[in-house]
Amino acid sequence: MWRFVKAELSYNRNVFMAFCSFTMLTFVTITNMELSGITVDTSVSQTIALSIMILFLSQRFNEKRTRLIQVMPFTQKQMAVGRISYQMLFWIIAMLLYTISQFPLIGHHPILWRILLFNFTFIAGNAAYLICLDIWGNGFQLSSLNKMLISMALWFSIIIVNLLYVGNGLCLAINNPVIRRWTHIIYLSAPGAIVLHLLGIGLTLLSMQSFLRRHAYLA
Amino acid sequence: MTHAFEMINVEKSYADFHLGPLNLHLEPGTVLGYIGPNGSGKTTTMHCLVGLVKAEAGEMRIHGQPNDPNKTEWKLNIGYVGDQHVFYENWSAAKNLKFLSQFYPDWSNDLMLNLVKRFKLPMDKKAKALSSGNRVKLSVISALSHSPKVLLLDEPTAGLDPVVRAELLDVLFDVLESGERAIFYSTHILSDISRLADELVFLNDGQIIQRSEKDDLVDQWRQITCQLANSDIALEAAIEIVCDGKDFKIISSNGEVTLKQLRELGASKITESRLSINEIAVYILKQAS
Repeated sequence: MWRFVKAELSYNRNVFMAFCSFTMLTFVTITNMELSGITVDTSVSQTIALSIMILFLSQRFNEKRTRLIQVMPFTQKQMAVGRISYQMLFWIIAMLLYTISQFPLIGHHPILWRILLFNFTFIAGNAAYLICLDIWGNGFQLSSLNKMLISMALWFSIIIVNLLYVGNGLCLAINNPVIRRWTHIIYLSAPGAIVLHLLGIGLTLLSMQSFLRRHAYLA
Repeated sequence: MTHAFEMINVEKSYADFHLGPLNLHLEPGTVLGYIGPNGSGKTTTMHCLVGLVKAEAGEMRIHGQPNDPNKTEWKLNIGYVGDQHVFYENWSAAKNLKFLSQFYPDWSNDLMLNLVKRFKLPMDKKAKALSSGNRVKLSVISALSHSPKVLLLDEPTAGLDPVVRAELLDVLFDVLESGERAIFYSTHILSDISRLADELVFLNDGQIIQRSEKDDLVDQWRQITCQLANSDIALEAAIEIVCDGKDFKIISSNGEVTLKQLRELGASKITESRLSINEIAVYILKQAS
C-alpha cells in the first residue's frame, strides 16, 4: 500500500512542491500582516490552501486511476486507506507549515485552537470531497436527485461551518456578548475545537466506508 | 479440475439493464470468445470478474479462488485489458511498466522487453502522448508481463487499424502456445476471434443464448439451396428459409438434419455450402433478438 502512496506522491511531485510553496508564502504573508497590526482572518488562507489541494488532487480522478489500482493486487481496505493517507500527507504538510508560520504570533492569539480548527477544515473538506466522488463516480446506485441532495447537504454543512469559522474574527469584533460567547465556545475553546475535530475524523471514516461500499470503481 | 475462472448465477442490475443470471466457466489453456452486440453485457461481465463492478448475486472464482475484494491472491492470476486503457498519464510507458512490475512477484522483465520489442512500443513517450494503438499495446504488455493464468480481454482491438490488430492477434496466438493460459476474449469483431477461439459464447440483452465449440458451429451450420415442388414446408433446424417459386435458400443450424429432411421431401438440385463464423454469429444473434 505504501508503494502506491509513494507512487502517487512521486507522480504529483511538482504539484506537491507548488502546493507547499504557495501555502507557506500565504501563511507567512498573513502572519506578517497580523504582526504589523493589520487584522486578517487566517482562515481565508486555509480555505485557499484546501481549495488548491482539492483542485490538484482531482487530476487523479480525471485520469480514472482508481480503475487501474482496482485491478492491481491490493485489497479494497488497502486502497481506501491508501487513498486517504495520500491526501492526509498534504494535510500534514500544510499543518506543519501553518504551525511554523504561527510561531511569531505566540502570545497574541489562542494559537492551539486555531491550529486545531485548521485541522478540522482540512480533514472535513478532504473527506467530503472523497464522499462526493464516491457518490458521483458511479459509486452507489442512487438516483440523480438523491446524489444531488446528499452532495449538497454534505457541502452545505462544510461550507456553513467554514463560513462561520472564516467569520469568527468578525463575530468577535461584534460587540454583542451573546455572539462573542458562542464564537468563543465553538471556535476558540477546547470543547468546541474537539467537537469539530471529531466531526472531521467521523467524516474521514465515513469516506473510507463510502469507498468500500461503492458498487463500481470505474471513475 | 480447477477452472481458469468460474461464474455461478452472477447477476448485476442497472436502471435499464439486467445481466444474468450468468453461469460461465473457462478451462485452462482454452480461448473463449464472448460475442454479443453493443450493450449486451460483455463489458459488465468483465467488470464483475475483475472487481471493477460489484455483482449483486452469485459467486466468481479465479483459479479456484473467490474474487474477494479483501484478498489479493486472485488478482495475481489475472491479466486484464479493459475497455479503457488507464495509466499514469504523465509518466512514460517505461515508468508505468516499472511501477506495475513492483506489485507482481512473477513479473518478467525479459518477457516485457520481448513484447516491447515485438510491438515496437516507444518506451520513452509519456502515456498521454501514445497513439490509441500504442495504448492498447502498453495495456497488453502490462497484462502479459506477470504471466497471468487468465487473460481477460475486453474488445482490445476496437478502434485499431488492421495492421495493429494483426500484430496484437499474432502476439496473443503466441501466448496461447505457451499452454496453460486461458483467454476470455470479448468482442463483436468476429474475424478477430475466429482465429483464436476454441469455444464461443453468445450474449444478448444480458443473457447467454448459446455456447458452442467453434468447430462444431462451422461444421454444423450450412447454407443449402434446392428445388422443391411444395412451397409450404417446415424444416427442423432451419433458421431462415427464402423461397422464390420452386427455388429455396435455407440457412440451417444443423445441415445434416435439414438435408435428410429435404431428401425425404423430394428436393432436387441440392447444393450446400459452409457459412463463415461471422455469418453464423449474425444469424444466432438475429434469432435471439
